[in-house]
Amino acid sequence: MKLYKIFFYMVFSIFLLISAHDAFAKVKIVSSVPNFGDIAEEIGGDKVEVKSLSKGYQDPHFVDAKPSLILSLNRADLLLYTGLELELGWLPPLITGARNSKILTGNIGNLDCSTLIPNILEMPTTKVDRSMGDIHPGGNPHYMLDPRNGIPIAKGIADRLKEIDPENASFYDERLGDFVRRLNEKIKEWDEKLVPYKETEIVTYHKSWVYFSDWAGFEEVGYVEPKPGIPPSPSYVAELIRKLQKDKIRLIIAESYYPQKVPALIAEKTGASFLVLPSSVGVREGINTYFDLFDAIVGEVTSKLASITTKAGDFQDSN
Amino acid sequence: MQSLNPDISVIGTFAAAYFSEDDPIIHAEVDPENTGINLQEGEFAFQATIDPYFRADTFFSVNRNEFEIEEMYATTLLSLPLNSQIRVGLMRSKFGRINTQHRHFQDFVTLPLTAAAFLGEHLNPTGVEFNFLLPLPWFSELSASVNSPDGLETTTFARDENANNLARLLYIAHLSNFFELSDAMSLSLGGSFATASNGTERGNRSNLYGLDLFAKYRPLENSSYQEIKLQSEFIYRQAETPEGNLDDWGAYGQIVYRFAKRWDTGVRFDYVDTNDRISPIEGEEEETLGLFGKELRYAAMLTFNP
Ligand SMILES: [Zn+2]
Repeated sequence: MKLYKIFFYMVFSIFLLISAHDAFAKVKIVSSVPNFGDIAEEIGGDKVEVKSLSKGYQDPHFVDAKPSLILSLNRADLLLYTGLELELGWLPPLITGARNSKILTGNIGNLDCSTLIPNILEMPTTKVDRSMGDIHPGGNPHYMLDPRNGIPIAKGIADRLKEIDPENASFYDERLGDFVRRLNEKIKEWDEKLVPYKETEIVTYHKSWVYFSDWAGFEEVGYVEPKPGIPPSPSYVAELIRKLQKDKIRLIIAESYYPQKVPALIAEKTGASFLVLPSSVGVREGINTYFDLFDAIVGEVTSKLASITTKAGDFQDSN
Repeated sequence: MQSLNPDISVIGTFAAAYFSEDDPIIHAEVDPENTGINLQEGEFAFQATIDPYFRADTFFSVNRNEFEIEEMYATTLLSLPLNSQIRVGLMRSKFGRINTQHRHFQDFVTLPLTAAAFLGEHLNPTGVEFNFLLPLPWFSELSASVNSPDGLETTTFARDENANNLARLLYIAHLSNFFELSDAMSLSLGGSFATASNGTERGNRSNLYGLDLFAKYRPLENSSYQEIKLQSEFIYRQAETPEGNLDDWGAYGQIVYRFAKRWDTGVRFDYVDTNDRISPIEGEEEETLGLFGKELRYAAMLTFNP
């Protein structure tokens, strides 16, 4: 192994180009999913050019590794991704094809955003094997659904931008400060809206709302998927229906990219409400920023829960 | 020294086949031989990033009686001039589409006749390959490789007696283009060329020309697990033999529909035509550079991906 490595370095060091620094060029940022891209835009403003590899309405676990995505990665100065193996099935082959030293692991242009999150949920404590489900082997990767996690992400992105483009460091710092202040204000506002619904018991399709529930104070009592990434069998669905009826669960949540038939059926059989919630920037028209995303999530959840409580109240009154 | 912790995966491919004829002609060793269920192949993959700038990929395939190194190569990951990427080692060559697909990624349990006839199941010589990303608005990659024709399964190429002549090595070129027609619809078009000595007589060569097409429709929004894939390849071979020059061609086309998360169904047609002059005599084993005469075949499939 050693000899052939030496051979490689000899051959290729001859080829290596010294890239000239262009003072007027924008920093090219490529984000695996749109959420990081939006925050990068908040921090970088017109000093950066942001592109997302996947769309907000796409299942981030299963993105097609289209060769066209290699073109963006080939020119990128900074790659932002979720980590915790969320993009394991599609990002590594794209990075391999990109021929771009900047975005390789260990380099300044490669930012695994999960490393910025102080509190990763569902870190495996035992040995991981496939029988536990397909897709969350290193901890739950859906941390962007807790808006408080937007702050360390923004700080981490700003740090990298300052390293890549030190001339504009104060610009990035200023915009970071502004973003953090606005996000903290909004979090306070969303918190207040959610207060009346603490301890609401919910069922979600995929185990992707655990960070949201942790923040909102909801209790997740079941999942439409028996294990992350495993589609439900009819007997599992029947059991879930019995559980919802017994525990009087009122709310089922799913992302738009999951099949809607099964959760809709469960809702119909149990009288629960089924809510399709946005889970990413760009999921639909009108959700263009991280702020829009939580305005929508919090707004839709609270108005649904308000209508359920009113109905329940009416029911009690008539008794 | 840095420790090497490769990703290791083991994949077994089982194939259930139904043949409409009692005594089907088997064209590829790994094809199922009769109606029933077979273990086609166990594949062991070891993939590791050696250091930030190189990665190594190794694939072994085993079945009941055989062990094969399918691929063992290193790939550069770093930025190189002309947007190039270099692969060195034993590789499935970039010639068309099916040749680079490992068994368990192929949609049908039998190999297309073109691959069995012209490529010797898969063309995986040892060599050096240069891949250039062309400066075009769409993804366009030009690959060129120089390889040793030794030890290949194919009868199309073989070592020349004059083994020192560089012109007799196996040269392969491939141009692949990828067009994103919409978020859901994409089209790949490729052209391939390979040339080397064929071992029939000193100085004789074979040339292979290939065209490949792949189109995919996969809606990104709801139920994103549904997709339709259309794949077709055409191969034309010119070969110099002591008996004269051969002109052979073959093509296959297939369409595969994923109708549920783990279920695929599809149909394929398959055709190979050999030059009449020296086609094998009826009932005899004799082949001409791997060809078995004119043949047309249809296949249908249903796959469950656990
Ligand atoms: Zn997930």
